[in-house]
Parts: sequence; C-alpha cells; structure tokens
Amino acid sequence: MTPTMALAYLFWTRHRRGLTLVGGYCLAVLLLCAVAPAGVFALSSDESISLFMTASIVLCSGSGVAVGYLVLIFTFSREAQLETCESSYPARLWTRPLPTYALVGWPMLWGSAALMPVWLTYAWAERQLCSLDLPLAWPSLMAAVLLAWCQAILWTSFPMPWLRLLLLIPGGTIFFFTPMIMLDFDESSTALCGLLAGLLLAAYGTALRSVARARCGEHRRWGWPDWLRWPWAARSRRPFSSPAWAQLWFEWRLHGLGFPMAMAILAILVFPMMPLLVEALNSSDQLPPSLRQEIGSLWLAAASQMLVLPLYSAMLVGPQLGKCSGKSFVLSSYLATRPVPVAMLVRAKFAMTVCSTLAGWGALILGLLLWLTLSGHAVEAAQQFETMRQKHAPGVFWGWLTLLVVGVILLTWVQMVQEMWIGLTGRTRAIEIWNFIKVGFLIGLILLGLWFGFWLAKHPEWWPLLERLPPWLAGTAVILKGLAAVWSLSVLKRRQLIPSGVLWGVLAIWLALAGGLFAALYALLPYKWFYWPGVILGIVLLLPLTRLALAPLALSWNRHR
Amino acid sequence: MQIHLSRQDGMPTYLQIVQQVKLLVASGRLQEGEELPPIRVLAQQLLINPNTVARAYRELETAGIVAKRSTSGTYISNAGSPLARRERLRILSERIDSLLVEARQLGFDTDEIIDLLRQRDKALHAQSSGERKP
Amino acid sequence: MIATSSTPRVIDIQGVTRRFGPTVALESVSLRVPRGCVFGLIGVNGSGKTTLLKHVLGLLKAQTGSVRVFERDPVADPVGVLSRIGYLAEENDLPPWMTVAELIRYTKAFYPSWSDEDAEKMRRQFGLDPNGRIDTLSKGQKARAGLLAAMAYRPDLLVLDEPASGLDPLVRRDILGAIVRTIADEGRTVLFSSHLLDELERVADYVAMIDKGRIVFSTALDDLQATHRRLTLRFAVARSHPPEVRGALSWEGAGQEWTAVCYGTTGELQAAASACGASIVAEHHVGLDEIFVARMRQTNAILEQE
Repeated sequence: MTPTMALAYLFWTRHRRGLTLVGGYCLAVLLLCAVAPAGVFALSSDESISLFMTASIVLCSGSGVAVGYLVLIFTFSREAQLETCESSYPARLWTRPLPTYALVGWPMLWGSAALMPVWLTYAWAERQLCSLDLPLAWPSLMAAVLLAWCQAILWTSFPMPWLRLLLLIPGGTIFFFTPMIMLDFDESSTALCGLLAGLLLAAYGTALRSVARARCGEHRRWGWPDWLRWPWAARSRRPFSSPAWAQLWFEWRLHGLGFPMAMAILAILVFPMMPLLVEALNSSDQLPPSLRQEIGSLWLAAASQMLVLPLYSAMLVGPQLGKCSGKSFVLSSYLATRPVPVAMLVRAKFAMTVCSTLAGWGALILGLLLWLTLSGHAVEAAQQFETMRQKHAPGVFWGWLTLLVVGVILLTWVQMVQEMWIGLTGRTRAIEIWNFIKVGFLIGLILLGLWFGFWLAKHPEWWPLLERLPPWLAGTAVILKGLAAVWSLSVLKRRQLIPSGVLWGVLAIWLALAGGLFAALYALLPYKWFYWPGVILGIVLLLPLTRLALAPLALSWNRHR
Repeated sequence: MQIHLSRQDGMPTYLQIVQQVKLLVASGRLQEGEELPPIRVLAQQLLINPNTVARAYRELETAGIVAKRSTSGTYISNAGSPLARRERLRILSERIDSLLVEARQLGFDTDEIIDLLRQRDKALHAQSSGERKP
Repeated sequence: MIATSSTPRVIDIQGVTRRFGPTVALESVSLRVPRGCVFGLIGVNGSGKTTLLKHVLGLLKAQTGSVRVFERDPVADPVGVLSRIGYLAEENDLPPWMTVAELIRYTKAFYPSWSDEDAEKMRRQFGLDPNGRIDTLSKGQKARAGLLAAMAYRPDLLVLDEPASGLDPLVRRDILGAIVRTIADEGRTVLFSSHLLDELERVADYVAMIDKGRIVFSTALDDLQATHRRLTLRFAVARSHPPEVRGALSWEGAGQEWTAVCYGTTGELQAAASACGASIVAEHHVGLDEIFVARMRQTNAILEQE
C-alpha cells in the first residue's frame, strides 16, 4: 500500500458512515430519476406547484447537507477551533512519508471529486424531474473552488486569534451570493471557467504555502505590546471575592467575546453597505409606500440590520456555549472537581451570556451611531426620527420603541441560550443526533407548511373550521408548555440541584415577563390587529422555560456520568 | 547524617535505616548526645513515608541506641560502646564470609588465604608509612 | 500502622460495579482507605484504576454498591466532598489558555483554606513563570502546575492518578516530596495509583492491586513484604515442569533448582516444600515489583487454564 493509498484509506475509515450516506443519497436520487417519468414534478400547472416546491426543497436541502458535510470533513474541521491561531491541518499527518504538495493536493482533489457528483446529481435531478435547466459545468467547478478556499483559509495559521473568522465570514457570504450574479452569465463562458480555474490554483498555492510553513513549525504570533499588557496585568492581580465571580471570569474568558466579536465583524462588513440597502429600499416597488413614509427608509434599513445581525450571530455562537473547555463538550476533570454545585456553574454561564449580549448590542449600537456620524446621514436620521415621533402619541411611540428594543435584545439572549442544554450534556453523539433532528425537523416543517397551504387553498370549505382553531391551539400550547415546565422544575427540585426559592423566583419572573408582554401588546396594538391566540402562541414559543431548566440537569449528567 | 537506601535485596526500608544508624554509631560518625533529624525532615530528605522513619526510630529506641526526649527530639544514647564492638565484629564477619566464599571458588585453601592476608597487610603498612614520610 | 475497624475511614467503597457498554470496568470492588495513610493502587493499564479513582471523586456514578468519601456521597454532595480533595489527573487537563498566575488566582477563589505562602513557595520551587500560558509549558511543568493547584490549599485527601507517568526524574521527585509533605501533616491522606512500584514502595502504607476490575489484594505494605518471599527449592530429581506447591505464585528455573515467589508463613512453606520432596536452599526478601509480576503471572495462568 503506497502512502497515498494509506491516506485515502484514512479518510475512508474515519468517515465511512457519512460518505456512505452521501453516496447512498446520490444513488437514490439517480435511481429516482431513472424510474420516475421525466418532468413528473415539473411546474406545468397550478396544482403542481406544491409538488415542484416539495421536490426542489428536498433535493436542495439534501444536496446542501451533503455539500456541507463534505466540506467539513475534507477541511479536517470537525475537531478544529476556528477562532484560534493555529492551522487546523492535523499535526499527526505531518509525519507521513508524503511531500507537502501531496498532503495538500490529495484532500483537495478527493474533496472536489466528491463534491462534483453531488452537484451533478442535483442538477440532473432538477432537469429530469422538475424540468428545470441548471448549468452542469461551472457550478461543479465553483464547488471545488469553495472547498479549496475553505481549506486554504482553515489551514493557514494566523498571527492573531479571530482573524480567520474575519476572512471566513465575508468570504462565505460573498460566495453565497455569487451564484445569483453568475446566473446572468453565459454557461459556457470561457472567461468564467478561466476565472474559476485561476481561483482554484490560487487556493492551492495558498494552502500549500500555509501547510508547508505549519509543517516546519514556523508560526509568527503577534502578542499584545508590553505597554498595553502591563496595566491590564497589574490591575487583574486582585483575588476574586467569591467562587461565583471566579467562574464568571472563567466563562467570560472562554466564550464571552464570541458574540461581541461576531457582531463587530458583521457590523464592520455590513454597515458600509447600508447606503446600497437604503437605495434598494427607496427604489423597491414591493415595499408598501405607506410603510416607507411611516418609518423612513434609513431607519427601516437600520432596523432590519439590527434584527438580522444579532440573531444571526447568536445562532452562530449559541451552540458553542455549552462547551466548558476550548475544544470539546466533555467536562474536563479539572472543572468537574471544582467544589461548587452544578447550579453555580450554570448560573455563571447564564450570567456570562447576559454580559455577552449586552456587550454585543453595545458594540452594534455604537457601530450604528459611528456609521451615522461618519457617513453624514446623521442629520437625515434625526429628521426621520422626529417625523416618526410627531406622528404618534408619546405613550404609544415610546412604548413601541422600548418594546422593540427590549424585545429584540431579549430575543437575542433567548436565541443564544436556548440550545445551551444540549451542549452541556457533553455527549458528542447526542449533540450530533440533535443537530440532525433539528435540520430534519426544519425541512419537514417547511414541507408540511407548504403542503398544508396548497391543500388549504384548494379546499375553502375548511376555512371556517380553521378560523376557530387558533384559540384551541393556543390553549394546547399553554398546557403543554406548562406540563413541560412543571416536570422539569419538579425534577430539579427533587434532585436538589437548585434551591426551591430560586425555582419559584424563576417561575415568577417568567410569568411576569409573559404577562408584561401580553399587556404591552394589548395596550399598544390597535384592537383589530390584536389577535390574542397568536400573541399567546408567540409568547409561549419564544420565551424558554423548560429549555433553561434542562441546563442544570444536562450539566449534572455531564459531571457525574 | 547520611543515610543511603538501596533497592537491592528487598530489605525493608526501616531495617536499612536501623542498620545504617547502627553502623554510623559504631564507626563513630554519630557521637553520643547527637540529635537525629526529626522524622518529617528525614522522610522528606529520603522521600519515604514518615511512618517508616518513625518505625525505624522506634526500633532503635527499643534496641537502646537512641533515646527519645519528650518534645525535643531523638538523641544518641550513651549505651553505644558494647554495641560498637558487637556491630564491628558482625560487619567484619560478613566481609570475611564473602572473602572465604570467593577464595574457595577461585581454588585457594585456608593457609594460602592467611599467607595472602599477611602479605597484603605488610604491603599496606609499607604504603601507608611511605605516605607518612614527607 | 495497623488500621482497626474503629480507625476513621476516609474512603469506603462497597461492592461497586461499573460497566461501559459491554465491558465490565469494575466488578464488585470494595476498598477501605483509613485516615492518615498513603494508599497505593497498582495494576496494569486498563485494569480499572482510573475508573475507581473517578468514583471517589464523584465523576462516575456507582451503578451498584456505594461510595462514601468523608462519610458523604460524592455524587449527592459534591461541594462537601470536593472542597477537601486535591486531584491530579493522569492527562493534564488544566485550561490551556490560562497563565500560571491566572490559574492560581482562579483556583484560590474556590478554597477558603488556600495558603498564599505555600502557593508562592511551590511556584518558585517548581520554577513556574507566572505569565507563562499553560499550553506552552512542557509536560513536566504542566504536572507541576497541576500539583500546585491541587496542593496549595492543604486538602485532607490527595488523589493522584498515575502522577508520574511520562515525567522526568526531577518532576517525579517533586511529586514524591509532595506526597511525603502531605502525609507528614497529621490526619491527611493520600490515594494514588502508579506503575512505578519502587517509588510506591517507598511511600505507601497500604497497597491494593486491581486486575481486570477486581481487587486482587488490599493489605498493609509491611504485611505484604512479610508474607511474600522468594524461595529456591532444590529437588533430588531434575524436573521439566515446576511442581505444584501451595503458596507459590510463579516459578522460574530448570532442572533441579526452581525459584518461586511464595506467599505464606515460613512453617507452611517448609511443609509444602518437603511434601513435594524438595529442600529450601535460599530465601530472599522480595520487592513489590516482583510480587506484582508474580501475582499477574498467576492470574494470567489461571485465565489460560480456564
């Protein structure tokens, strides 16, 4: 067996289940194409919209998951930490008797060879089943370029932590949007293929240089300059006044800067493009002009960003918060032997998320103000704000503003902590299964909604019945949530993980918040827009209680196996 | 006080300490009235369990070599002299036994050994007197 | 030092069984560690030492049986138990991003009995740079940092899981010194597992041997050394196979002279030797490593026969 074959065998044995699944998926799709009559899901009539969309969604998500998985394994990033300085190329492979150009080239080649069939299968299936003509050639090349650049960026060692994310996030976003721009190009354009081939070679060259340097152990690091470090170090010699503060410091150092950094990076990238967004909103004909006059396009643009960016960052950062060390979800024995109850460890995590959310929001608002001042839109923004304020009664206006601001901040925090319990269990298999279920559930929900919507449109006799349904739904939701909350809180009380005073306090706070939201919406929304089953459903789904109560249980399960 | 522990023979550590203290007393390196190091200090110096050192000191106390004065430590007692001769004889007998075994193996008999002893004694005397001359 | 039933016990493990899927890591293990002693745990790799130690710390729940440390259950009352235990793991798992100064500052917050002078003395003795990050330290320095974090608050129970594995002799001396210093204080106990049997022999009061999840023996080290010896038997007739002598653990030799590590009193062994027609020609003390090897050979021989 040559060293190259050994390397291929290594890939295969490590990931044979996943690769088999991907291969099986491609084969199943091809089989379906061969068996089903051509154009069976095509968009030929109004009835077939649902079938077309179902088929497209299933194919798209399946191929998307396959592509994501292949990129993940061929860049060796399953165990890697993205924010550290080091290259994520596994050091154990450097002692293989292979030259560096082979160590870099083979994974790139095999990865591209694995990605191309996935795209080809998808395009072929769309062509056969949905009669949708998708180009075959250049997207497969583009997939290879995506993989190659991911590998290049992930395998480079950076002088400072977090720099890699600065390249990866915008790179990924740009890549996401290029296909839409590319669709205007001619499929067989040689210029396009030439550009992609050039990018591929550039990626290979970069990856080669980075891995060669990492293999020789050359790694230049930029540290903080001494004059910056000294006052910091001198100040932080004070001992902690209690274990709770020490644990909060620990969690902050580990995770605290994740969310603010993500927000800062996204703010730096997105805010300069705000004028474009404002232009687009101004010239858009899909936006009702009344809305534009009400709020002003500038504030609308800003508001949309303030909604999207934090939630996106919280979604990125959230799953990592369950980790108690940098690398894995498993609790290290050093942390597990701290003489503190599980409740205190979880409390430190929650406190850290609160600080992190506030810090991130502070960064975002600061960024917004800075951009407004620097780009000269400050006067315009102030004018629009005044116009808005004068249009409504002061109580209603300030009430809405407070509700929106507090609501979005709370929503960001909820988004960050609602997945913490699954990470705190520390069982990697459970976490992977959970991620799988999440993705499947989401796709299933979309498909179900789609089918239900189309079915409903064809059967208007069911509409009166459905109009009476929401109150029952709201009631069922409240009951289910109540049961789940009662169960989880009683388990916590029985196992004495959390003192019962705290449990009652949490319950009281939750009820106060839910009641407050309901009352605020009742007061602020005009009567005809206040649909109480919808409001109740929203509150029940968005405010987590059981998800938070599961966190101490999960950590206790992690600590005492 | 220099104690050296060896891992050979599997002899228990406390016995090795007892024997070496006896040897030191017998050869005069430990004088009467001198204090033995405290148990903790000796244990840390030799990297052994303090209980082992305590046991050795108890054995020495039972044998009359050391006496424990309340709170102020362990001291060599003055009952050392008769033990010294017995101890010295024991050590020398051991050496002579191994010499005889070795000589037998090499094929010498007792008379030849005695002659050799006298020869070597004369040579050592000449050497040491030669050294004493300036 | 003889422990009677009235000696307070720091650790009391009764009938603990632990399975990881199909493999049985511990089988009906019972262990009693008296207060104020050094307790050594010996066994080959994978025999269950680390699993047993994790039960003491409450990192693993007992599936059957009970574990009591300081008369409390470490799973039900982690705070009460862990505040009196210092733990040094086999694999260093201190947070790699912390500096040594930060580690001291962070660990200190959890223990009211932390002694700054002890910590500073140890830090200087070990030569740990306060501003050095833990992931830049060598393996030996990491072990020293872990030892500092485990010892500076003078825990009543020090638990060390193969503390000296893969470390140079200087660090091993530091660890032995830490053990001796701990035990020299009245009432403090040390429980440690090790492969380095000569070091264990120096400091241990009690020794327990664990093999494939079962306790083979658990006695005072003095008793062990008193009841085991190496006998050389001389037979009248040359033999090709070792004889069956009660009390003999493992045989070596050929022809007329066979040597075995034996277990029993002198009288019993004399009787057993003359029963199979041999005379005892030599008798030696035997060290812990030979006892261990002989016991392992015996258990392996029994398994092969089964």
